[in-house]
Amino acid sequence: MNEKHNISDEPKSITLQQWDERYECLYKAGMPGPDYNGPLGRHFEDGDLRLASLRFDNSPAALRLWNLLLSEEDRLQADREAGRTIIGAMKDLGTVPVMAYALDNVATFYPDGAWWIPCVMQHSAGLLRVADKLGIDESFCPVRAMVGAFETGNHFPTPDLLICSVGAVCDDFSAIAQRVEAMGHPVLWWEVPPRRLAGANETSVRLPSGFTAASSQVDLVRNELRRVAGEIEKATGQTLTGAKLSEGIRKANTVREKISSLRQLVYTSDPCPLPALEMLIVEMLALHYCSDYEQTVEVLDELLTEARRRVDQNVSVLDGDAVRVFWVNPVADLQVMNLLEEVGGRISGTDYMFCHALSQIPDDVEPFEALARTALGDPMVGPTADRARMICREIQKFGCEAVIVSRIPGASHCAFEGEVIGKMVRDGLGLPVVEVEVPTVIDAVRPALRTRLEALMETARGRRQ
Amino acid sequence: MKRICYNSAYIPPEWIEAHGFQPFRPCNHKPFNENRAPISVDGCCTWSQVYITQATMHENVAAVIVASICDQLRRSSEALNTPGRHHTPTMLLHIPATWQSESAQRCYRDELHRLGNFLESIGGTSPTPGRLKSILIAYEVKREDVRMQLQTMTGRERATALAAMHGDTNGKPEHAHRAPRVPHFDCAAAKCAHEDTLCPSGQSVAPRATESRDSSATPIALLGSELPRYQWWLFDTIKQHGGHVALDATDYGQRGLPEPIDQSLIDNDPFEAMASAYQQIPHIRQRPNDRFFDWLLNAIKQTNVKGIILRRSLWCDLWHAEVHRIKQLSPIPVIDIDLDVDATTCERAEGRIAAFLEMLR
Repeated sequence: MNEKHNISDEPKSITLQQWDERYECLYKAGMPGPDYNGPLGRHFEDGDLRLASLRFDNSPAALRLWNLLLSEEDRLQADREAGRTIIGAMKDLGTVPVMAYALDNVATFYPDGAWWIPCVMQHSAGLLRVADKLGIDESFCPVRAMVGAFETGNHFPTPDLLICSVGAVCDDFSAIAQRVEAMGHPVLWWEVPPRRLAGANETSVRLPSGFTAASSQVDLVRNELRRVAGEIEKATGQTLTGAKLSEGIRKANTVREKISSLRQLVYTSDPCPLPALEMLIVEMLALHYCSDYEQTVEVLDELLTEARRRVDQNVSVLDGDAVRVFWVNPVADLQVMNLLEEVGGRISGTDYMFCHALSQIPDDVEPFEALARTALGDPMVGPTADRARMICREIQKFGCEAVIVSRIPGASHCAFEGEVIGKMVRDGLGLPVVEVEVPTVIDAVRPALRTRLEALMETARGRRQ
Repeated sequence: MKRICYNSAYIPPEWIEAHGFQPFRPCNHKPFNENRAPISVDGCCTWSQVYITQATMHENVAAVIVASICDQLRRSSEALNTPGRHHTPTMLLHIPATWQSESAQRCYRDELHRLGNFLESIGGTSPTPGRLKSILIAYEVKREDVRMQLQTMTGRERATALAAMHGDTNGKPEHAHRAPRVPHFDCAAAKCAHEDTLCPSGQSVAPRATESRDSSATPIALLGSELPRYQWWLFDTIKQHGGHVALDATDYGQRGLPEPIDQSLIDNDPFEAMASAYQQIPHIRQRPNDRFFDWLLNAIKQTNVKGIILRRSLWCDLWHAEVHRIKQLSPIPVIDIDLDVDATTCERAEGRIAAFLEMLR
């Protein structure tokens, strides 16, 4: 099949226009694919203007990945028309969808994902302007685009049930989600406490992400998740039995296992088989399967096949001597991942703020207990030093040579975290670290950003000698 | 008696005292940049920096409690736990953001018990129900004193009395700040505290008379997070331009007072009486925060204030995000004043307050 459809071509980084031309050839050659597949240019025509400024991997597997991502809005709309229950999960990143997808006829997504709309649509949707008018100005992080998305109602169907975790979450998000509720979208709030170690007379629980928490905190989160499950049951008219939740966990673990395999393969192989941008999207699939579990599994399988083929054939889109970079925090402008590779870097490890969504959910304990342990393992709900230590372990595991901490503009947690993480990496591992702030569209700061990244690459290369 | 430094209305001082310590909720005397702090909290908001650094500088403090009323405080508390940087025992106390569920109510009580265990671990005594009951009653009497006089006090008098009730007498004997049981407060406390009228730049905000009640002054509400002592010049600015603070709805003000504690519950279960009273304090951070808005709208009606001065700290997302909604829901005009510790902001704030009060006349 590979030869027939010319997908054994040398890996290349190509533009949107080149992809559309390539798609035409592949299509005429009879490339199979799901109904949402098609030329990426159609998404540009629909307003995803940033696509024209990105460079993409040229594999059909990557094409399908992009199409899965960019067709989510249509998919959710179709779910609404088909009468499926739509659940909006906010902030927990990877917990509520495990419960929701354990039931039938449910679609779950993260309205938080709207934070990328200003980038992808290059501000043409005006979501940030709407948020401005509602008093959520640029001093807040770009997730404020979610306020604009709810207000305009243009980017996702209004969920039947909106669920948000609070407690140990950043003030930006908590404040913005509260505004969403005040706009007439009732929110089911559930509590996640700041993770802490067990006290003298408490028992301790080891979490899947490697952290430890007091068992009373796991109990609290487990009870909260049961409460959330009760509301999901009311919204869907179904019962979330232990057996069903266990099945939901098994499905989640399948996706997480595939992503873990891809990360291991891509972040450790030389030359790097898949680009940073596509891998960022791959990691995001762990959160809510882009509203389509089956397609997510198939897309990941295709990407694994493609990555393994490239490793076997020792081919890549990148130079063999690219600097191995560990990236901390997600970027508001996707183009930065291209920029890193343009200046001679590659991603060899990540913490995009949802590492807990990548770890396996325990299958040997009661399912709500398992999910509670996983949720408490969120690096963002514990001390920053915990997160920094985890990052250091990952850096060593993947053999990274440099670290980039990308700040999210307006995000209140970034300034403090950046200091702590940067110091621990420098002092503990002796690696070069830079902090960069990535706005939603980097065009105005691209030269300065490029200079900083180039300097980091130069420093890292100099250390090889 | 050793003091326990704490930062939130959700931490009952009675609970600390019942464990044999003196509760001390500092009203942050000076802005951060005027101190040579033994610890730095780079990257967090000014308010949390002020609390964390000053908590480590007060004398006779046995422990520092940081209530996680916002994410900035949660993160800044980590600086206190960094090995080798600070030697006073520290505890991060989680105040649940949710309040309607059984889990949230249980979580709050569990955290108070954890606080009790912590206090015992540093030399405190385990309180008997009888001891807790007597302390609760004593505090209730003190609060009742203040409640009775709230409407007759000037803003500064009220702030001074409330600070004293939280153990912060600004280095003066407590009796100098205690509110007397008479309708007309004698301003002794206000005079004591008047030295705190420096604006953050260090300039005096003179010429300015000591604030006193003037029946022709426009009653306004002061709303926002904790008003640190170094920003009490706001009371004088408001007075100078023809207003007076009839409702102190800051975290340190009337809004931070628990409702009268259920006397019958005190007899049967003093811990539960205390916990249920304190957990009901309305706050902008709660999710949902309807209870805060209900309290505010009711207080506006009861106090007959003509305008709201919303004073918020730069960087404080929790208040910033609600400015629009407060303006939408308020039946009276609202002005939004963002303050940091620099002089420019201070002057701008004065100008805005002057214009606001002129408009209200």
